[in-house]
Amino acid sequence: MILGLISLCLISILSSWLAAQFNIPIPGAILGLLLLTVIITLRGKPGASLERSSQLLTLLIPLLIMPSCIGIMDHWYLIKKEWLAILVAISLSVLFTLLTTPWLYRKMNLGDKTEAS
Amino acid sequence: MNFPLELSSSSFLFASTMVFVTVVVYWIVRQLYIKSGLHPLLQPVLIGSAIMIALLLCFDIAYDDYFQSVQLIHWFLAPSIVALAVPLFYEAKHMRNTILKLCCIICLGGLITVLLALAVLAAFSSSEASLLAMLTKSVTTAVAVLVSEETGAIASLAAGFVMITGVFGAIVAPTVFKRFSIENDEEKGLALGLSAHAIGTVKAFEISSKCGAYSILAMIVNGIFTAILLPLCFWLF
Repeated sequence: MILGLISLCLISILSSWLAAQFNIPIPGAILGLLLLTVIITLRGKPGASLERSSQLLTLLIPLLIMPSCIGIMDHWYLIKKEWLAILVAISLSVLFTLLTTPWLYRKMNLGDKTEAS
Repeated sequence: MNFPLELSSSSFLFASTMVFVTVVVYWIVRQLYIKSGLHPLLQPVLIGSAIMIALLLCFDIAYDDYFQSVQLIHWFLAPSIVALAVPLFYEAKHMRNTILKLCCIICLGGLITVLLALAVLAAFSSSEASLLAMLTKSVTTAVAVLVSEETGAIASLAAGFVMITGVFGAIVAPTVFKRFSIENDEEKGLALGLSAHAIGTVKAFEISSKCGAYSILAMIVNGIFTAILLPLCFWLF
């Protein structure tokens, strides 16, 4: 478990460093996510330690994003001013996505129904 | 993102108190969330942040000081996103026959949802800050926060939009599915993961574990695509 956690941290540090060093505009964490996916795929399985630490960290994500979310206290005026536009934009796009995604799925799977099940 | 070396410059006692309070508040709201049977409106992030804002306002602590002192918590966000490689690997392995098609659907769907939201905001002639923050509205909050650091959007505003999207999506999804007779678990999972990310995924697992798996896949793949394409677009133009 500790080993898994340490390797996750090391990959994250390494990929953040790479992103900064080579001016890659992608968040380092995403590079790390892709890197680790490749490593796991090559190894064939993640291994018990990595699996347990991954579960622990993903469970904690709500806690880890709280510091950033609390920043809304400094931008309250924006929400106050544009709340209607924000609500309409979000609810329309959510409804639309909920309907178009299944439609796209059906379109894409035309012809090979057997594979889908 | 650097490791919080600045920690020593501010008072160590203040920093550790802030970290402690944040963790305790999170733990309490999480218990509440579990007790309520995972109600979408009782998101730990939502209630926890509200309580923390009230506390900070009560004790007259500026947000910047607070954020400096809880850098340690924020720092672990990156490793926790790296950790998503494990569920991604399992879902991708499980669906390797259809994975390419699924990625296309997720990409297309993700693009449509963002464009639509932007169009509505533009129609209301909203501020640039809202437009920037809306770009990441349908990726999971953790990714939205990190992408905001690249695109210069206000991270908390982006996180707020993500949260509204997730809560709204998870609440209306069952009704929408019923009304338009969407019965396939794969379709439901993709739609939930794409439109309501992590909050939708919780809902998807209530429907079935297959639905949850598709939701996880949609959420992570959409996050990766957005996190790569958005900063690249900003970098190019």
